[in-house]
Amino acid sequence: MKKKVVFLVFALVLIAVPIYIIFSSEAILEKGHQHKIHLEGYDPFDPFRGKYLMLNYDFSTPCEEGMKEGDEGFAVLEKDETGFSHFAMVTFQKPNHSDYVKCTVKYVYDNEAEIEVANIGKYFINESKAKRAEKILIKAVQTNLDDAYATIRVLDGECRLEEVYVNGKTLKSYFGK
Amino acid sequence: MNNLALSNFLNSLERNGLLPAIANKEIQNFIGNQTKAVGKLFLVLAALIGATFISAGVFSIVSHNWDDFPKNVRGIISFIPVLAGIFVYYLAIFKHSKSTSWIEASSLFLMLMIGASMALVSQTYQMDGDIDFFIFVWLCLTIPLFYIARASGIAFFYLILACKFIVPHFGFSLFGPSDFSLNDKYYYFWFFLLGVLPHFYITLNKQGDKQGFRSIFLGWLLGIVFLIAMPIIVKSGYLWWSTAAVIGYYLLGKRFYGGNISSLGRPFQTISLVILYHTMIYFTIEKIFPYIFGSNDIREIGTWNDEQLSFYFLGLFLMITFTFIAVRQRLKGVELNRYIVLLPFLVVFLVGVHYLNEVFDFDMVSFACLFVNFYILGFGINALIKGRRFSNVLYMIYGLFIIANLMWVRYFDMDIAFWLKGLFFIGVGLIFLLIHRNSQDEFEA
Repeated sequence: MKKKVVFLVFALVLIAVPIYIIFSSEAILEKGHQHKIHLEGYDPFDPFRGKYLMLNYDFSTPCEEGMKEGDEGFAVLEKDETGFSHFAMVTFQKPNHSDYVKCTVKYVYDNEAEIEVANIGKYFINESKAKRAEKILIKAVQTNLDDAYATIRVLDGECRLEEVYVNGKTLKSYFGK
Repeated sequence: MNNLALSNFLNSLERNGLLPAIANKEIQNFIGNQTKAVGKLFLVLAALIGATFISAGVFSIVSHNWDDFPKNVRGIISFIPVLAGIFVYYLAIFKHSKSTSWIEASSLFLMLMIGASMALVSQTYQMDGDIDFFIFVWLCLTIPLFYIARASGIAFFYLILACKFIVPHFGFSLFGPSDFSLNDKYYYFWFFLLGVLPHFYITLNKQGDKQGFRSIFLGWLLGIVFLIAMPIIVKSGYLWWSTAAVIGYYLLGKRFYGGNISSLGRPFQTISLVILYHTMIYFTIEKIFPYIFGSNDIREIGTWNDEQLSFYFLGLFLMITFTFIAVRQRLKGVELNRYIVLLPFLVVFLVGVHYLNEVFDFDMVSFACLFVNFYILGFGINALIKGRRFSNVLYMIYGLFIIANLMWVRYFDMDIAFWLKGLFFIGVGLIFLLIHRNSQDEFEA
């Protein structure tokens, strides 16, 4: 009996972990503020999760005095007049509005920090579409920077990649869906 | 000779009146038990390899990325690997609880399926995430598998993944300077190592000093992984830690594995002897003496951070505790290698010599190195004598290796006249030939 209870609790914990990730991600995607950010991409491979496009953003951002490599901070997102967002400042203190994400400082040079933001850097894609998607993305980035962007959602410092757009269409729509 | 041929041979001995029937029966029973144990190991290995390949296949299917399906369908699909893993695990612990191969393979399968489900969810929600966090969660969920059905085979994969937290960071740059830094999440490794230790303790046969295959496997795995990780996970007082490891491993091996017949069956004693030799040979090299004993200079203790202080004093505490236990056991008449028991005293003596030189400018380093040379020589001769006394040829080879290696190191760094060096090494060579001559009758007879 005791063994059955232990097994049941363990099985529930195992199932609870993916459920938690799904619910927290859904909450961010539904309730989070949307931001459009310029990007460029290429096509590597993840041994566990398959093909993805590595999305690069402009992660070079002014930072508060005293920030150094390895510090955890908050990157504030600001929208410009064209509707695109960019990382405007890295602070130690949590801002009193919702448009910020948690980040790690990679290095600091001349009060400019190069930051790392989790969960927006990889766009996982079907193995048969990855190569073509990369070509579409690179072409768009080379033609006009505004033609390729990602939309992300941010909520309470957490963020998720929502979609990748090329020439006003979602990247997936290039493949018939 | 295979078992069938051996059985036929024994039966023919019985038929010819050379072997009593009862003795034949006992020998055949013994052979049968041995075969069963190896057969069990074969079953476990076959099941583990099967589980690994099936899991690899699942990961490959996950990697395809089924992004044509709507997100909610993909969300449900994400649970399939972990549910399949839980089902197989359920079958193992409730329907095949007596089968080691079922328990081991299902635990490994579940462990890998936990990772597959997490990978699927993160793929669905485009979470590149933090690989360290991914492995941290994965391993945390794996820990109960050591205790629910007491599977041990997963320890291999578990510790390999835990080693991710000790891999240094290599920053390679084509144009700028490359950088290197130690992994600052090393404490996760400690956490996961400590997570598996109670399981290891549970598997030990505490009534005797003989262990089965499971404990031998865990002994080798834990002993080697800790040894490899030690330079990275120990932040100061490395000298105390390595000395503590030598004595701690030896005491642990002597208590629980001492009755096993081969060196392979005594993992901690074997590893202890290897570290002992490796550590001591460094003590004999005068040029690196200040670097070994001068690291973590106690005069700079005021500048140490909390991490350095705690590792330094914990290492010192462990060394003193193990030495105390060893000395007490030795005084009670327990058969312990005196060269291992005396190692901490030697280390403290050498640290003293270093500080005498540094603080009072009283140079005894050459004398100390010479002393360690004789200590190692004595240790090697002791291994030869003990090996011969207990007919342990492997231990004799170890003794021979220690002495020969010490001499080779000295050949290259001894700063004396070449003619004298030549005579000295001819003498050493003759001593080895003398050992050969004395042992010839015994081993060639």
